[in-house]
Amino acid sequence: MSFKKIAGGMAFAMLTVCMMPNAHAELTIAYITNGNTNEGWTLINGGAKEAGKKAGVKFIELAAEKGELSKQLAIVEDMITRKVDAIAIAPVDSAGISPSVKRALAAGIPVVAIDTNITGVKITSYVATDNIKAANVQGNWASGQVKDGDKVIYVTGDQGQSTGQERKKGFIDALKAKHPHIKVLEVATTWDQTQAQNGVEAVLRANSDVKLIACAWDGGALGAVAAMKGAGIKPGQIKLAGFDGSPGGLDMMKEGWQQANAAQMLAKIGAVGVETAIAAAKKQKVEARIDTGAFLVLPSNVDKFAKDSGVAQFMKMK
Amino acid sequence: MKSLTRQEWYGALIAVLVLGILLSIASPYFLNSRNLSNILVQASVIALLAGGQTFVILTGGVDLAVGSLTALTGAVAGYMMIKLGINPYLAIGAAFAIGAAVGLFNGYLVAFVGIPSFIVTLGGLTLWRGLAYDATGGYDMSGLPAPFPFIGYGDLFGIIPMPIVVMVVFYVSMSFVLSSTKLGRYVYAIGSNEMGARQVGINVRWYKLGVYVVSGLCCALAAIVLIGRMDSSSGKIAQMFELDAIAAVILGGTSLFGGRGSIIGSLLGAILITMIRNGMNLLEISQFKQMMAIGAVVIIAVWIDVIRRKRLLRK
Repeated sequence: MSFKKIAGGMAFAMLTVCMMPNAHAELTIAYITNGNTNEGWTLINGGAKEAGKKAGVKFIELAAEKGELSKQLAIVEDMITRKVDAIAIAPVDSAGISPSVKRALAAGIPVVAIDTNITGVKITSYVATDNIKAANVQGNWASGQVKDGDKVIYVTGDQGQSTGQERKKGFIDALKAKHPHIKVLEVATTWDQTQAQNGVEAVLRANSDVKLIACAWDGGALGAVAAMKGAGIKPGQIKLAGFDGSPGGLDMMKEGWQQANAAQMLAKIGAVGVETAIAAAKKQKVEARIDTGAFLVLPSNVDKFAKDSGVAQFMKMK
Repeated sequence: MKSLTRQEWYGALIAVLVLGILLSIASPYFLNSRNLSNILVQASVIALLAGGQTFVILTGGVDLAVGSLTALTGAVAGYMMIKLGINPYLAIGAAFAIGAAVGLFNGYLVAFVGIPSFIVTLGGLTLWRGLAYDATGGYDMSGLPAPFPFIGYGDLFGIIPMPIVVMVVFYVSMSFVLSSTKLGRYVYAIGSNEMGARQVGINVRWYKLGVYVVSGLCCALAAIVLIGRMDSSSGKIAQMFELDAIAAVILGGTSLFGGRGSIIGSLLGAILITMIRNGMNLLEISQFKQMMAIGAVVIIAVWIDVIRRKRLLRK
């Protein structure tokens, strides 16, 4: 290769470097997901990406392949090496990710947890739905639908997990605040739709006077609908309150089975997570716990909510 | 020098160096002591699994259950320490005992009953994973007692990360076993010509049984390092690690058809796979493209092995 060519190549390379817009002033944010590719996570990740684009930062999105914790650990380590300015992460495992998160914090990189908290280390911020408050929204709506002394079914989530415990507590506390003598018949599940269906079937058989069913998640509501169909109950005859604002949940509402849904603001969880990480990277003060809130979806606003939240793209009935 | 180029692991060494140079050019974050030490730490668990896998593949078998067995030994050890409060050294002992027992089970079915190793360990892939969840009730166990934090992310003499120390000691011992013990020499003999090995009086069955026990013990060792690194354990750890472990062995120049290969190649193979992932992370390549790349690398490695074998057969 001649000297001219080498010199020309170098000049071209320098020109390219100069033309890069503010390569040094730009912040780099690593968004590390848990590798989940379901509808909910597609919305969260979409919100995160959008927020990164809007802020004009360099946005690196990496995922733990197959939800494998050791791969997520390696990604966090690699992002410390990559000297990113902040990390926003949806941990595969609350405890297991903490050794690498400790190192990131020690290297001066702020870490924001998204949707799932990180235990064993004090992180910069945790952005997620406050389950108790969201379930309060669900319980308040339910208390307006029934009278004191009525029978209500509550389909729980896993009671060995904080999410399941908080949703149940939030719902029952809000309901009992208005109606102290209401009878709550519990159907215990471990986030399993079939358990929900079987449980609701059994309770309905023994109690024909149930007025309302509330569920800790929309999959449970799907199970409840199946049980009601089996028992020959018509849509709306027993009121049903879902939780999540999932595509399946909103479809149930459009079919007339569900009358209310405490929806999580999924895209907002991702967006606020990344915005918080950016703020922390700019050395701004951020809250240690950020609640992205819940929205009470009703038949009157379901179409607007589905469209605004992005859930509509996954629904059967648009 | 000529003898060096004939070594099976030579290709892997070249690949590591070439990839290293390419990544140094492509990313300003690749070539520094911290990242290189990171790569070795990240390679350690796969390297330990690949070490045991090398023995199995040299005999012409394959162990598809190493990821699941790592999960089983790691989950049970974690459960014993966190839920039952058992002494961590006893838990480590139990992990090795389970690894050896499953190895005996696999080895018995392959060597004495005559079921192909592919089937025994494919069944094991889901059998041991299921048992890992079942035996521990699906719980996540975190905050492991000493010596796990030290094994996982401590430094020997304050500088060398412990997973690297474990990996180096392991590979030095395994090279010795493979080059200087009966087991090592017979493994090659069985892999290249099982009938011949039997005719010269080698107890093929017992040595075949032995390699599965070695692989099982390696799973337990890998699990100990892995759960230390994560400071936690559960039945869902080490998903798909068998793919990386087998890929590391094949990339290291060991033939999938048995009889040819080296232990040092597997170490290089594990480092190579980890470098690929590390490089892709630093270059911000997305999850799906990473999965495609690793799959392609595995196919190419086996392709090269097949071509090499055909050339050897022609000679």
